[in-house]
Amino acid sequence: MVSRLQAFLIRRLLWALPVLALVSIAIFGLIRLVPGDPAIVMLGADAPPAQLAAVRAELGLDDPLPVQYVDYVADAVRGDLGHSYVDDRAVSGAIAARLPTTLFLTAAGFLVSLSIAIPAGLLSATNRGEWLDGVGLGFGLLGVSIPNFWLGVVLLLLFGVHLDWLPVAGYVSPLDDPVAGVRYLLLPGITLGTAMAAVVTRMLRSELLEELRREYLDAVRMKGVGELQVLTHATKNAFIPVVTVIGMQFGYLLGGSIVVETVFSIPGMGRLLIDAIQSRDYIMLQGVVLVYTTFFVAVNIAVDGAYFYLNPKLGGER
Amino acid sequence: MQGEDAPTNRRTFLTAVGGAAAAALAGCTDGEGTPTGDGTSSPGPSDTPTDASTPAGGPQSGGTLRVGFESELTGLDPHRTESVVSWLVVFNVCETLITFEDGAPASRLATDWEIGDDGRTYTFTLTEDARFHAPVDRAMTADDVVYSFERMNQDGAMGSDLAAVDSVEATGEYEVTFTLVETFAPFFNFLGRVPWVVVPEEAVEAQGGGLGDFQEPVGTGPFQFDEYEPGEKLTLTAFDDYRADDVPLLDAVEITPIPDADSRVAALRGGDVDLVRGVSGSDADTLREDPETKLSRQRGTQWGQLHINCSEPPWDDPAVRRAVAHAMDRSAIVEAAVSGYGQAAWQPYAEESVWHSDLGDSRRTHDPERARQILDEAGNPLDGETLTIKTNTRYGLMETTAELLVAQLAAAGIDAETEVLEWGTQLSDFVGGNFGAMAFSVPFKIDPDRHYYGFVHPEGTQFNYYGEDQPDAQRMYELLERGRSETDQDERVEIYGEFEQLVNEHCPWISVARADGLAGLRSNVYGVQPWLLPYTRFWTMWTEE
Amino acid sequence: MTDATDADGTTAEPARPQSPLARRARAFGRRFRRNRLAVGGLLVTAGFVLLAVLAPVLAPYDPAVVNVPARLQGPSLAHPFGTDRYGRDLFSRVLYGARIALQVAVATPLVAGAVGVPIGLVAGYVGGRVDDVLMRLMDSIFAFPAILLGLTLVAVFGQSLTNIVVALGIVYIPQFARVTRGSAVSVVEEEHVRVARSLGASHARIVLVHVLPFCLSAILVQATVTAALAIVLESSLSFLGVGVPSPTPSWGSILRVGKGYVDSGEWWYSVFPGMAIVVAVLGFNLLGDGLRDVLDPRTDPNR
Repeated sequence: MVSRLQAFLIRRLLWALPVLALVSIAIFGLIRLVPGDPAIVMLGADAPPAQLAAVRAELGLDDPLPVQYVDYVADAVRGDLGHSYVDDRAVSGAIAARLPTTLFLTAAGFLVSLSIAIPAGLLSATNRGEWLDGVGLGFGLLGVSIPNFWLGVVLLLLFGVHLDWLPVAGYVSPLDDPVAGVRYLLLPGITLGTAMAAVVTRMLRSELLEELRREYLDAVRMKGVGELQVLTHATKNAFIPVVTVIGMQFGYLLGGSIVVETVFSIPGMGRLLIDAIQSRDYIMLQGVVLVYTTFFVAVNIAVDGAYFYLNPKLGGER
Repeated sequence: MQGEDAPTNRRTFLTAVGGAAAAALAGCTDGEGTPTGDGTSSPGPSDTPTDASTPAGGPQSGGTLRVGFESELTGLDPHRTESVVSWLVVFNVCETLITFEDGAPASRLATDWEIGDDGRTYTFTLTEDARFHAPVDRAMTADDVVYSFERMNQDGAMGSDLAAVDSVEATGEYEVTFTLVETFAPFFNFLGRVPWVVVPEEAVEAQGGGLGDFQEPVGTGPFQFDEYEPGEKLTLTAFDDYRADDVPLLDAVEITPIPDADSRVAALRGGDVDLVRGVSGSDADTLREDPETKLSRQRGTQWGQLHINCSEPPWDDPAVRRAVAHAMDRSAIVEAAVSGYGQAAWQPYAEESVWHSDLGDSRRTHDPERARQILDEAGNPLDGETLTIKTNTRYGLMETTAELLVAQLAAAGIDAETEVLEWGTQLSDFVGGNFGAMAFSVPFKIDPDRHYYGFVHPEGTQFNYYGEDQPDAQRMYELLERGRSETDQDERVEIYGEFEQLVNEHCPWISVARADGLAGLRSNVYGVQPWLLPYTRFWTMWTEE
Repeated sequence: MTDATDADGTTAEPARPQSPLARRARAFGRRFRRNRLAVGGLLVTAGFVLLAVLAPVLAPYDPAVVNVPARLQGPSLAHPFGTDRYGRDLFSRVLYGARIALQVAVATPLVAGAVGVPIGLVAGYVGGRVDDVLMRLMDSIFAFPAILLGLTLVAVFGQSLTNIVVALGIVYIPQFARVTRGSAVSVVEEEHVRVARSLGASHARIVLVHVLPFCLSAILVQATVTAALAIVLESSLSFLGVGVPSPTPSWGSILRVGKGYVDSGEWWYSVFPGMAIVVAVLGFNLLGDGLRDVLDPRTDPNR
């Protein structure tokens, strides 16, 4: 007997597959429409036509599109995403090498975001109407109005160049050297997390306010329970939609990481993506977009599952 | 055997084949100002010394040099890769027959050479001390040279560069003779270029044997290939059995691609790497000012030009091209594009080079009035027309040339706009002739034939589409053909001199600038010697701890 | 002191010409004026629009004119925002950049709405399977990080202002669809719609006359939100090098070049164009927040 949660997850997974397929076909087809010959980019304009033709045949560029697509999918399922047009390295290998970097950056952004948003949201909601609330609201508004790449550059100018406290570019894995890793991730993490913090703060604040007004809380108060416990109770319930927002924001974090990686010259998947676009490296581009897509689909399903689980109204298990 | 005819000794041979090309182009310390098109000197960058300093202690051995390259390596098979970055690696691992010192040919694998009187036979005496790296581990012989050239030219892969070669023969255990179909002057200089390296057959076969399979090159050079993780690090280690003493000084070289220019500079300044190539003009000053880093400058590694399709209206009208040549303010472009690390150019070769021809006052300098005048006299062919100049954002020199040129054309009353393409697309357009004009640049070429023949001659790739209907076209083709077949250097200098005069007159392309190759170093790196070709020679370098 | 209309600003009255509309409009105006966010947002946005439109008049220099000897100079009286790498006046370029931003801010919601609103109307009105499928589709696009989607679309379409606006429009279709559907679903249950249907009105007429007008407030708010997001997304794409091609002075492109000069001290190259983005986006966000308050304060406890 399958539990309701499991049934729900299975259904969502089944919906995810066509999405992935659709995305991969769309990218595959659209990219092929773009002008530019990878063989020439690889070998240079001076290359003799015989060599160009040989490379093109090797890459399968002359096969009909559906054949190319099927070949690609068949390999992808086995973990082989092809080989880069630029330097012949394995796409899956290149992505695997860069994935931890992007994940660490995303995690840093996430941490920063929550460490700002939760206290800010709480303070704002509990001090509604006073100056603290105004600050929270102001931060929320500003946070969504400042483009993350500009924030990054400004932080760079201030802390990296002018004050010279933090590194300006590059990356060290926290696994290799925790202290250096944190130093390199600090500014990028703040940059990435701030906008998300703004959104989550706003959301948390409004949800908390909503909860705090609820009548059932008055009933609880009348029983003589302390204000702190009321708050805790309200927070837990307020968190449910916030969890959804956080899940949605993961997509933003992933997209934002592309930009932040460029600002801070961090060698993650975002740089891989941009470089692939600029060198017409179809294969790399496909692979990277596919991986990004898989990730956020997975996270979305997880968040939906969590929401389903937490929300008693949907009959989830408690 | 040596050439049967009256021996032409080596000295005459050297002068005959223009080996002194760009004698001072390589790594000279600067002190003189850089003359710009308007006759004024541009201060600052021209005073930058290259790394000629030597610390009191002198060269030290040991240590690992960490290098940041500007792009990914596109395969390491020496006979199958066209990327400059890959060549750099190969050049330190495998060797060519000759090399260049102070601009003149010098021995590398070949210790002596003779050319037959008919100019078609080249006989090389090879060193007996060259050894191949492990696992091959034996002396290099003439058979290896023959094998390498035959491999390289499989299926005519080398195109017109080797088309003139009729046969390669081992005429002794350490002697090789090339016989050409006809005289082909550039041949000798080409021998110094990377694809023409000597490799051992057994190693190639062990890795698959096909063109492109030889990804872990084995050669006779001062460094041997250790390992390579694609997209990550490539490691070279010193070859202990190298035939010269104290070469190399370093124990190992680690090369990492860092395609992002800002990252490269940051990595250098942060001490993560010791040497980076591809430093932009704006970063150059920063590196000079930072006490932990310094700059190495190689003059004229890139020749920037406005490349023109002379079959595409309105560019097929010589008056249009001449007018554009006068509208262009080259010094402004040099200043903006490379922050002065370069010079305005009317031809690919600098003043110090033997291939430089003095155009004098006939040079088309910045003169918007003259531009208008030319167009007037031609009946205003650009009335109501907007010129399009293709460019990309990947290469600063090209991007800036196009942007500034459009503004400069406007100042001369010519309507123009840029069309920004992605680099791959622009390359395709270049090869396919799908353009009117584009901002372009090509790396320095050791022999003028390699610059001009491909651009103009109908039997070359003719990237400028300079058809027979164009003024003096036949004469230009003729000159190029003679330039190839004539082996006397003074004659060749005259031939290409006349050619450049015609180029100046009719503008099949418009030269813009020669840009310098800038490399950044940590201050404790010494022995960097920029030279004629744009390959970094790691074996002259050392680090001081 | 209370108005004749309901607290939430909508009426459930059967359709009658002019007068309830006029009354609603006046009530709206009053509430708008009292809302500080809305007024502030309107002022800032209007300022931005004005500067963009009047840029040719206000700019002290032609933004395209190069002046290489004057390159990379810091802020001065002659050049309040300094000069760029070709000596062009940055203040003028930022002003002209506002024109690009304005075009993006206006055209993107139009494109997104032109497709998204009909989809939302159909989904909300028809309901059932159709609703399910349409919204799933919208969700799939919506779940895609905007930057990733925008990047891929522009990389494929090619870089031009038109293509970018189309690509951005596609990115924001789901928002319009969802918001419209949300309003439509609640309206569809209401009295006057059922009455109209029982009277035999055609579906098209019902949707256009009875459903759509009640979605307008939500659509309007979404339009301002999308305008803000579009400006940010376009500048992000330009910053990455996949946006509006040079030499058009998009704020993002200027910042892209400016970043290369961060290390060497030319801070003005990065600071001023970014401030312009913040101001423009802030204006739209304030306006959006204010409008949300004014049009439907009941759902927003933030007041």
